Amino acid sequence: MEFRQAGSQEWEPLVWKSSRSLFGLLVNVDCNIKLAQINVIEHFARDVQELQVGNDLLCSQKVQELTSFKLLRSLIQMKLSEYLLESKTIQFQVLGSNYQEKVLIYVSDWLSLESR
Amino acid sequence: MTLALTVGLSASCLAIAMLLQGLEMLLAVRAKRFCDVWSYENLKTDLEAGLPLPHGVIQFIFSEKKLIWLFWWQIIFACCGLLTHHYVFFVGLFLLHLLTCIRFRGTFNGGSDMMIFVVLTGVLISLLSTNESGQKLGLIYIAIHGFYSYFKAGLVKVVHPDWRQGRAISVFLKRSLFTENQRVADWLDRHHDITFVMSWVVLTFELSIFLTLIFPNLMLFYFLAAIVFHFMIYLSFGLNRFFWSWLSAWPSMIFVSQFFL
Repeated sequence: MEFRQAGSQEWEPLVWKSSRSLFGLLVNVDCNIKLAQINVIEHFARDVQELQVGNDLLCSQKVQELTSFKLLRSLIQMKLSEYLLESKTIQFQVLGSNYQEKVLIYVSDWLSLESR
Repeated sequence: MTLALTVGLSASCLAIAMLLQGLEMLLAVRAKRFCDVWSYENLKTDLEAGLPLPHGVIQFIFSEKKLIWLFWWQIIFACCGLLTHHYVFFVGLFLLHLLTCIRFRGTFNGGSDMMIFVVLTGVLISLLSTNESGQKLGLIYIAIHGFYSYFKAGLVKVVHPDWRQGRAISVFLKRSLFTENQRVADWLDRHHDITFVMSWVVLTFELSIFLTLIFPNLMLFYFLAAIVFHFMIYLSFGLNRFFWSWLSAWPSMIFVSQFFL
């Protein structure tokens, strides 16, 4: 998962990090929330790939109607609030990877971080 | 292991797993970063399209405020189930788990949620049965899923050259949430012979799980290996729920392997 701000050509990675806690085997809230967030990205990637079956062009409106897109947009808005961004308009891309290579799955339109 | 002991152990392990999950979810829904993403607003299109209920009822059940109650009930039912092993509490846990899975569209730990459903179903069959064969049927149901889950995981891995050649473990470790695993992955990259052995230990363990039905005396060894295996997965990826949900399937697997003694 990568994003770039309006006016920038550079894609920056969005990273998820966590640390082990003493009682994590019993209750592991932070880690499980982050794993679920990563799951949202994977669900979105699967939904987009399903939309692409039989269609050469991906309709932006159809993608934005997906529930997984709404979840992902909220996730990105929440995640980027941790960053000090110069612009409130961003674009994101979802990359899939197998063991060796990366594949581009989806590039979003420009989104405003302020719109909910 | 006797039938009664197996049913009791399965019910207890399941109740503990669901108690811990309930606690986790209760703490999670209090976090703003959680509710901002999984808000009712974001999910309502799916929920309203998929559930044959009036929209007002759906909103009543699944709104963010009601979620807290859902998990409080899960904690209460899990405690009561742990203490009494009464089927009513497990029916309640089944319904609550179903609502949780619908609410989060399976994005919350899909694999362990599936195993919880399997064990819940098997335990309910056993608890609701009045005769011995019905109780055994519930345990056999859990055991079949348990054995097959390991075998299938092994099968998926072994067809992949990266697993057979021992490269996959370090690739997965690099993707872990725990940044300290990066160093371990780098070290493993430099010691390919170790990752090769580790890969084949995992593959052999998973693919040979059905051998315990032919050689039931191996069951204790496999059980201990499974505990180490799931604990290592927790240490590597933070998947604590897998540890508890698969642990709750093991009493049934051990019981069923005794059929062949």
